[in-house]
Amino acid sequence: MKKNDLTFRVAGRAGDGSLTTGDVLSKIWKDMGLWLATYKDFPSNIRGLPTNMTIRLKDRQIYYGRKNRLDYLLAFDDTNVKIHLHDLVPGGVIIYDNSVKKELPPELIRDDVHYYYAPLKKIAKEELGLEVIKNIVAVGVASYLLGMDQDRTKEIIYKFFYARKGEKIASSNVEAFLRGWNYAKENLQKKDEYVVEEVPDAKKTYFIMGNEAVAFGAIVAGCRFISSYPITPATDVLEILARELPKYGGVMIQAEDELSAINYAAGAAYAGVRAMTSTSGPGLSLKTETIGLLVMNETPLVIYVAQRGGPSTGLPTKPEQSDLFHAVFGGHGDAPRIVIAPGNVKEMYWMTIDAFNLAEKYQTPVILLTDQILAQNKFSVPVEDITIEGVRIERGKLLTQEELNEIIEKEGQFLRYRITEDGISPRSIPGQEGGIYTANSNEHQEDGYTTEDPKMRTAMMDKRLRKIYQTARKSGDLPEDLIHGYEDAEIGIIGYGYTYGPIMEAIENLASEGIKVKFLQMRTLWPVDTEKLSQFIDSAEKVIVVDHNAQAQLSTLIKIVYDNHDKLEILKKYDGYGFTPEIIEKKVKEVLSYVG
Amino acid sequence: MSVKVKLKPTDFDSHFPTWCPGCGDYAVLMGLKRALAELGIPPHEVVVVSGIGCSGKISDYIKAYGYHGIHGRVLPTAQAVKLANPRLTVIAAGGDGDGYAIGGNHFLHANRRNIDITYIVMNNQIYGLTKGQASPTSLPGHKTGTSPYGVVDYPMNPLMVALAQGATFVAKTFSGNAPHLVRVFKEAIKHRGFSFVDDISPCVTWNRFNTYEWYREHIEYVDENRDYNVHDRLEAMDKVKEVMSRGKIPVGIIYVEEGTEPGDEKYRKLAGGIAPIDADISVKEEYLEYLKQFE
Repeated sequence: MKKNDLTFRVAGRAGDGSLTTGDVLSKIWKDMGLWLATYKDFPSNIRGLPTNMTIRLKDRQIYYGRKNRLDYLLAFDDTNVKIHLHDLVPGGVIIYDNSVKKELPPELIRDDVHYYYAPLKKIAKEELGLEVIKNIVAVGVASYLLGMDQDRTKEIIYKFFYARKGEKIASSNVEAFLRGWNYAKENLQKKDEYVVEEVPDAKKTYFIMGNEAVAFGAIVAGCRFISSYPITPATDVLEILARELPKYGGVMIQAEDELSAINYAAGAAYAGVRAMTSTSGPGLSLKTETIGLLVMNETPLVIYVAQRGGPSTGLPTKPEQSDLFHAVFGGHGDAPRIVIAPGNVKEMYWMTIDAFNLAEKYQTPVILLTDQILAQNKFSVPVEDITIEGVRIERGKLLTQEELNEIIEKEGQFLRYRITEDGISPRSIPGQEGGIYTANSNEHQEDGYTTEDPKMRTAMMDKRLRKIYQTARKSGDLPEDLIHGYEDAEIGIIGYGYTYGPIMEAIENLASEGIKVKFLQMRTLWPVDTEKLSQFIDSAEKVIVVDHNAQAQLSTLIKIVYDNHDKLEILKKYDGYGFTPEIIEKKVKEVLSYVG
Repeated sequence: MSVKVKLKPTDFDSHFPTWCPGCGDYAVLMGLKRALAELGIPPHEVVVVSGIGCSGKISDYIKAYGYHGIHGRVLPTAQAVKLANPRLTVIAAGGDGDGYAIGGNHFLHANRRNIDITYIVMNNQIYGLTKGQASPTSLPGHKTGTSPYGVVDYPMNPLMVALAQGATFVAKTFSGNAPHLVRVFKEAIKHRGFSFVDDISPCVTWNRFNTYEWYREHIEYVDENRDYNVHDRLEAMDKVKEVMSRGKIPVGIIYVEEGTEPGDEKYRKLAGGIAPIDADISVKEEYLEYLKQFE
């Protein structure tokens, strides 16, 4: 019997409700005390093209929603059987909706896989009079086959729909569930070994999407202004804050374009409000000129960038990490900024708060760089990992009127861009008496007035560089890069963002085979903690850089800051799908074979 | 808006401009200082957001909080300053290239949002700081650096665009008539909503075609002996069309929507009347309500 360890995929066409089926199943399993991670794989299309969602569950912490191999497939048509058939493990399961094509053709039959046929659409349409409810009929079939408790599952489904759609819809969904359950009970004989059971005394978790964690981080950090343009995979943040910010005196402006979005946010930030904008690669391209402006006029702003496949429109709904160069170096002129990258949902929450504090402390744009996998997938997180305890709001050298008065009394004048030792100047906001200055995109002198004086130009540039490369770098404020795994391992891995998930799982799997690996999870991508990075590289025989893009951008970034290149092994991918633990395990073994 | 403090235009003096002698932008700068002084708005409660080009330098030349941003993005920034802090008087200022070419999209949407700011475009029908290229308002046939055979494209009509997009205050001024300009600026600032003023600001260096003299010959003041209802949008459009059909330029307050609700107020209403600058950002237990949906 294979209990409470399952990789389950729902596959259909866009419009079939595969994602809804996945959501309902996830909710059921979550309430049964299981830990989950999802991987949504959908096209840039509203109806028609194949879509699927993978849910992985365990009775303990799970890092990532995708594996190469699959245990269970729920397919709404034969096309989707064909697409996913060879991902199934021997002993795996297919539930096939045979409403349209009664039998699968011989080429779609594997003799090491268990097939269950159920006319889901037909039951929904003929018995329940509502075709879309086939999703819940499917849930009924799957629940029966997985040996789940009928009453408990029924209760969860009822609650799920009752909270969202009310009594009537809740009852009809329970009815659909029972039809599916009963069909399976009467017509299908369980041949496989998979079972999902309630976990006794399960740890309390949130089942939360990365974007949902970022939005919450923004609220808690005191963000009271967001302006963005809708773009996959970042839109959720805008939608959530559109709903939530007015509750706390905040404003959401749906901008007319990506250019204006960042400039609205910048205007609010300049006026003294914690502000952000959210986007993906194409939007980052358009926002880049303003990032330079914010470096120049030293205005704090959080720019949330959820990467997707590029270049250009690229793969709008698929993951990639190919905006790293752009995030770190994008734009004209010397414009250092802070780029931080969380690796999981917990970090997405906490590092959003970090981003707001860093932006104000260092009076700089901060890019919070994530990716489609973290942004749009849900993960189980222990409730104690997302709390408001320990949250600090740090506004740096933002002056009160009293502090401003003191400066003027002591120094005779207020200089917004005063050249200081740490490179950070005192900051006034409009409305404060005595704090007048121009936030200037031209090179400027200490009061903000335009200048081309070579000495002043040099001093100002040095000041802006100093606050990032010296003050911020040495402050301990930047999210620390973390080392996971086995410190004495010969093989090291470096990655950032979502690859934390598959890498962590690979480390666990390899350890069970007696292979030790260590992992440097980079969380501050700029400015890089070169000491930690170089020590990590020096301490290993070989270092695999997990790089989800075609030009090995992370590896290149590492090479720019540390010149010991001989140890680096690049593991690249750019096919629109995330790394899996298996891919990383294979690479580790390959490298081990020639290290000795 | 009530007079708060006794102020003089010189209270707004800052660095001396580097514009060419005779530039129309001087009149806008002086007019703005005078209007703000007469309205009794102290410098620290004023924010001047400016774009790129000769006109964009205005934020350097007036004593007020300034934001000299990037090319074309004046309006988003200025609107957000007002949304963030409604106690501020926000002036957005730029040129015809900044506002009608590179920033044209924002002009469309600022009219639609009706945030309570004043937008002054110093329109000289030429690119000045890049030394004399055609602008979106250059007239057909005008020979410039980028139109050696004369401008081909039809000029943009900012007044009509503003009227069509729902602007609630539309005016045109002329830098050659300072008293009129001050009067209009004052009305624009007082208007609660998006106030749009297209100022004819002759470029004495790069536009030898549309000179002060040329403008004086072509201007027609529509607010002297007004023969139409300034509160009627369609009548205002008809008026602009009619004057222009005679080859003239309509100058004056062209349209004012009375009793309009500023966009920033609408957003504040959604937030229970609180502006972002006044929002409490201390960490609160009530935030935790949000997490319940993920339990």
